[in-house]
This record gives sequence, structure tokens and C-alpha cells, in this order.
Amino acid sequence: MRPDDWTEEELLAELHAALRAEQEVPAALVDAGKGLWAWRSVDAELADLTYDSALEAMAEQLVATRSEAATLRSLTYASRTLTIELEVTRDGLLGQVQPAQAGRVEVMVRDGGVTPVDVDEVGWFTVRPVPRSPFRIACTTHDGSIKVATPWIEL
Amino acid sequence: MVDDGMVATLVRRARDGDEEAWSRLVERFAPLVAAVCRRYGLAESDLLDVGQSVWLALLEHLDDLRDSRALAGWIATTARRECLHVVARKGARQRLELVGEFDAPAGDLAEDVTDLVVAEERYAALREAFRSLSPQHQKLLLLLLHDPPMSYVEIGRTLGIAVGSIGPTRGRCVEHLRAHPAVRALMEPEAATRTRETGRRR
Repeated sequence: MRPDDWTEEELLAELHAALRAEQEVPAALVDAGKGLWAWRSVDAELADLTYDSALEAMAEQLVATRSEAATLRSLTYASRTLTIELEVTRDGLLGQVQPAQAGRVEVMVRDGGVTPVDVDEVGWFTVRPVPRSPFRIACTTHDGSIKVATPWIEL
Repeated sequence: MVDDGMVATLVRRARDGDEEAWSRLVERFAPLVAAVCRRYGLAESDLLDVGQSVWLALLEHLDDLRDSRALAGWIATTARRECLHVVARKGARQRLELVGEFDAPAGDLAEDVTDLVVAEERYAALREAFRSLSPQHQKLLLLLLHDPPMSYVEIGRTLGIAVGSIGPTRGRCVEHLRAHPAVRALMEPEAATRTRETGRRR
């Protein structure tokens, strides 16, 4: 059926269906899409995992040098311009941006939203609670000149 | 303007860094993504998962999209593939008899979502045409579409217009919708289901 063939009634019925279809879209679907804008990758450098305490612990066990278990997990992601260090504690994810500077971090999870978190003057930020599902972190420095994103992280 | 001018404009603006254009693109195509998910019987939590992947892919491919008229087909194909992954993860593969279809080439619009693309593109064109009407005329059409139906007398009273003017105004609104470029573009053969010319990352 093409618009030229529609009667006035048919066209209005189609419009009715069109408006209803839009209303039935979950708002979270639209919000998730809009929130992704921060992730536009044009100028976001991808930071590589350069240190993972879980892997180091495994390596240590293999060569049996130490016996005490690491209580925290720490991860380091490095890019050319910025390094993001993460430390998992029981009540939050502590982050440190190097070189230390203020900015904004965005935590994106797979099942929806983006959570913005401020980075203070000395480059510290805290994400509470620790994301349980896979997540990514994007950091934008205060003057917007540097933008770095981690790959998906699963703790 | 013979093609879908709004989408082309939004893609161009988003590519140039316009966040508002990106938001409008998401709004424009969210019903299509939702429709594909519904066809595969996905729960709302899975729908968000699929949506996230589709929006991410769109964001990443914004710079490669050549023919914005093919965008609906590309989005439906991407959404469909993500749906199949979700369905597969849940082990319901046999039920839907989807074996072997997971990695169908992105350039081909799968038959089982073609009708959705056609319908959702028609809806999107009608919504775009509707929003180009004056606020007063939009209000009139909404009252005419009201469920349960309202009488012309009630509508006239609500809007403060003469009952005798409702019929003719309604006719003019319908003609406006019919003549809108987005609606005219639906007349182009296979306009909505084109996918071939979608650019790919080189």
C-alpha cells in the first residue's frame, strides 16, 4: 500500500499506528543511545591493559614465590596520553588518572546507561558500587583535550 | 528533495559532532530496533542489550555511511544479528530454527525483517510529516485519533474552533501529510529496503 492509494481514513489510521509505535518504545532504549554520544570514538584513544593483579597473582603462584593472596584487584590501562589505574575495593572502584588532573569519567555498562563521575584535581575518582556487569570507562580531561577509553572490563 | 532528507541531514550533522543530531537519529530509529527485538520475542532487559550494541555500531560506523537511505536496512540487519546472538546465548536456537544464519553478510537485508523495515520507515515518515504540521493542526489530528473517539462537537469545544471547520481542516492536514517529502519518498521503489550502498569501513 502506497501513500497515494491511501484514503483519508487509511492515512490517519497509519498515522495513529505510527504515533503509537513510537510511544511503545522503552524510554531506556532511547536514553541508552543518547548516552552513548560520549563514546563517539573519533578522538577517544583506546587504552590497553598493561597490568592486572589477577594475572600477576597467577604468575606468582606458578613460580611459587609468595603465598598470601591479593585482597584487591588492580588494573592499569595505558594509552599514549593518559593512564587509568583502577583498584577494586569492597565498596567501590577507585581510580587514578595519570598524569594527575581534573576531568570527568563516564562508566558505561552493557545493559543501559552511562554514569558520569567527576575526577578531582589530583586525578582521583570513585565509582560506587563496583560495576558487576562488563563496563567501560571513558575519561575526558577538564579542558576536553584528551579523551581515552578502556576496552570492556569484566571483574 | 526526493530521498529521506532528514536522516541524511542528521547523519551529516552527527558526523560533524552535533550531539543533538545524534539524539534525533536515536529517536528516529528506536522504534525500528524495538520492533525487531519484539519479533524475536526478546524481554526488555535483552532489548536494551541489543539496543546498546546497535547504537554502538551506528556510532562507530557513522563516518562510513554513504547512503543514508540504506540506514534503516542496516540498523534492522544489525539489530537482527544482535537478537540472534541473544537468542543463541539463551539456548533457544532450535525453537527458532535459526541455525547457520548468524553470520549472514551485513549487506543483505534478511527477509524476516524486511517487512518491519518497510512498516517502520512508513511510520517514521508519517511522524516526521506530522511534526511539520502547526501545533494547532497536530492537536486537531490527535483529538481526531483519540481513543475512545471524540465527537466533532467535543473536539470543537476543546480546541475552541467551529465544528464546521473541522472536516475541511482535517482534509488539508491529510493533504499536507501526503505531500510531505518524507512521505513522497515512500513512493520510490524499494526505498526503505536498500542496503547495498551502505559504506563499510576500509
